[in-house]
Amino acid sequence: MISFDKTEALIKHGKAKVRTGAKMDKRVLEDAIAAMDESLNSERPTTTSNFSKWVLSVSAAAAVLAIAIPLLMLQPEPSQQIVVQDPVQASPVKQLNMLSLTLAYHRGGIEAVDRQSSQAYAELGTQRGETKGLSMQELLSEGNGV
Amino acid sequence: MKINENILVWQFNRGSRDALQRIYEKYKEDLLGLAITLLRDRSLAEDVVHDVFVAFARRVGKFRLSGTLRGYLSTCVANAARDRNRLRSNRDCGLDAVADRENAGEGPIALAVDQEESQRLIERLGRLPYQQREIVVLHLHQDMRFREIAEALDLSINTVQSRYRYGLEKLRSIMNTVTI
Repeated sequence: MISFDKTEALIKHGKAKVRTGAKMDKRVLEDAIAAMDESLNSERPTTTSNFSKWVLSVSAAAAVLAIAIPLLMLQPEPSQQIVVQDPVQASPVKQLNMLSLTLAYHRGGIEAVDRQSSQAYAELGTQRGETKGLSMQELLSEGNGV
Repeated sequence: MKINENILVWQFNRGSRDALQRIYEKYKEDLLGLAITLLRDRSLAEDVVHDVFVAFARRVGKFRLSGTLRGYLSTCVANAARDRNRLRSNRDCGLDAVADRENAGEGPIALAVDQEESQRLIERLGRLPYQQREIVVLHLHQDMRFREIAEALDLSINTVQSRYRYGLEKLRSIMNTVTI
């Protein structure tokens, strides 16, 4: 009488020993390799599109850097920064001149400006005749710095 | 062992033909033995192993190994063999059944199995209902645990264990009858 455990052991150790034939090996391997190649080829477009996306994103990042880096490098240091002087703020004297002439113009027009300049020449002791060649336009341009 | 398998699978996923060939060489006889034990027909068993390897090759680049490669391939063979067995059962109800049986003879198994003892065992296992035979063979020949078998065959572990017990009891009674 064979026990349950012995039956189990007999089945376990009585496993069939089989050999595959060369014909079977050839058929299986050829078909399996063909299936593998087919599967790899069908995947390629997806891989290419993923690659294209990657190339595009990397190109975009490179373009941004290519523009940003030269701009940052070209920016002068604070000590080298060029101070653009407002012609109106060129000097306090000019600024005052321009301010007083502007106020005079608002008060009485071009005649008031003429009067003020005449008064200034008188107070500074300059003869009006000596400024014969100086026109109103030249005075204004001097005041505005234009 | 497991590391070698993982390397093989990694190479296979990279499209290595050599890795595919090595996997086939490593498991072909084990899987053919399983298929023959389940189906008792070498020609059908070869077709099953062929189909399993072709389907496996199609998974190149996507294959993820969770357990062992042997367990995975054994499960594939068991599932494919069950489908073949179902088809064969349906066909055996038809008019061609008698002619097929006459043509089949003893040839397929006799050619496949070297040892007389193994051949006898296959014949005894063949007397079991397919569902019991499948579980007995996966557990005792392919070293799969009941839980693995339950997952692979989509059955509850209790069903697997009870089928195994019934199957083994039946085999024991067959063996005792023969011995007496």
